Amino acid sequence: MVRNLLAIFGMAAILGACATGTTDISMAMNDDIAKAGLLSEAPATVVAITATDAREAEKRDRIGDKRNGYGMVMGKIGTTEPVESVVQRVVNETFSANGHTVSESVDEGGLSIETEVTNFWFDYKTGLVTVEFFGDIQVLLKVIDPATKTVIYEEKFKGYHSEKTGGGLSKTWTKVMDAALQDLSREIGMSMGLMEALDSFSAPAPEAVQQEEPQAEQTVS
Amino acid sequence: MMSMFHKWLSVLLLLAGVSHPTGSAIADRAVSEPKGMSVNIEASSDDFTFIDSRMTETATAAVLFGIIGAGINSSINADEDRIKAKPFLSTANAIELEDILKSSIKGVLEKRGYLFEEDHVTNLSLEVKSWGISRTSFEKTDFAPFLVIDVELADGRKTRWEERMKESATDTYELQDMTPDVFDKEMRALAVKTGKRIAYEILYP
Repeated sequence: MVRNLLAIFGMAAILGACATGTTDISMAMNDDIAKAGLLSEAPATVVAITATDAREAEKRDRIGDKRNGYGMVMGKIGTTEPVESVVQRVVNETFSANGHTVSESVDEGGLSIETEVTNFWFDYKTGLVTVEFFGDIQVLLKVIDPATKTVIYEEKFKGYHSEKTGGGLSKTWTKVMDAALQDLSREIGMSMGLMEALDSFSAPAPEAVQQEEPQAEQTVS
Repeated sequence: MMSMFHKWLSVLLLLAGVSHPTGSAIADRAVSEPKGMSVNIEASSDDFTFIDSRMTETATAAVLFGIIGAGINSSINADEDRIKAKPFLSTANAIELEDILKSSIKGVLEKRGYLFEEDHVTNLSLEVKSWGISRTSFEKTDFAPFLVIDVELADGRKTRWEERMKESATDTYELQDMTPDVFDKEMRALAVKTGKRIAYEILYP
């Protein structure tokens, strides 16, 4: 009787087909995650980049759920490094790839880039014969003048990737999230508003009109 | 992360040779000489879709009732989604995706010296595979417009860039807040953004 019960539980576990516990994945380990885009048209700027995890508190311990075939959450998908650290690294590489200098801190000649991670989630949709995996990353990026502490530009960016396969485990999950991070990098690198903000910051201030007493005036164009 | 049922069926699929353009771009897709181009876009409101029940589909029916049960379950979910799509159909029919995409792409590239002509040897071809409204995750009932486009940039017979782009709007809404007007605004914005992204991908391969 006990043996039969054990066999039934064993079969149920196999049919559930999903490990419990937490599986941590390592992301953004490729060198080619960022490349030059529209942002490279702004004059080279020194930037100090920080990132914070601004996701809902109950989600900060993971980036996805492992569900069994019945949709029940059996475990977590986590990361080997904090989410904000991954995003900061990607944003660093994006600015570097676009010809800007990433520094630990900036003075009046540079800009602070604050990145709030508002979503960082891996999910999947089970179809009849395939599984579609999704990576969804959203950040609020603020460009701040450290001299005046004012926000000179802010924009929400989204990195998204989906892939339909017969199924997949941690290697596939990593691939999907890496693709979403790469998409995020491209979105940031292709932002006209961000490029113009950097361009405006770098533009020299117009020279003041000088008046010489008593009569001569010089107008500097 | 799949049932044995899915494993078995996915092996069959692989053997059947089901394929589509992958998500990775082909390297070296720079247009070397400026800068004529033709653009062809195929988009249809027939490809408009609403995904909700299909997002939360599980293998329960397959385990309990086999492949026939799974098929029936999928059909039921698809039907439920078709019913949910109805309030948005007239709005979707009024969205001219082809025009929005073309205008957005041209708006960027013309400023960079591109001249658009019919039947130029350099051709940008877009095919909208599916678009509409999708639930964004299994657990949350948030929805956002999405767009799936096959992109191909070719110089004569030589393919310079081939990619299946999947775009999803940044802002999400609960279903009761995703009104036809909200969908119209967000879908058009997503199409404009996608067009610009395609243009910038051409400028910065």
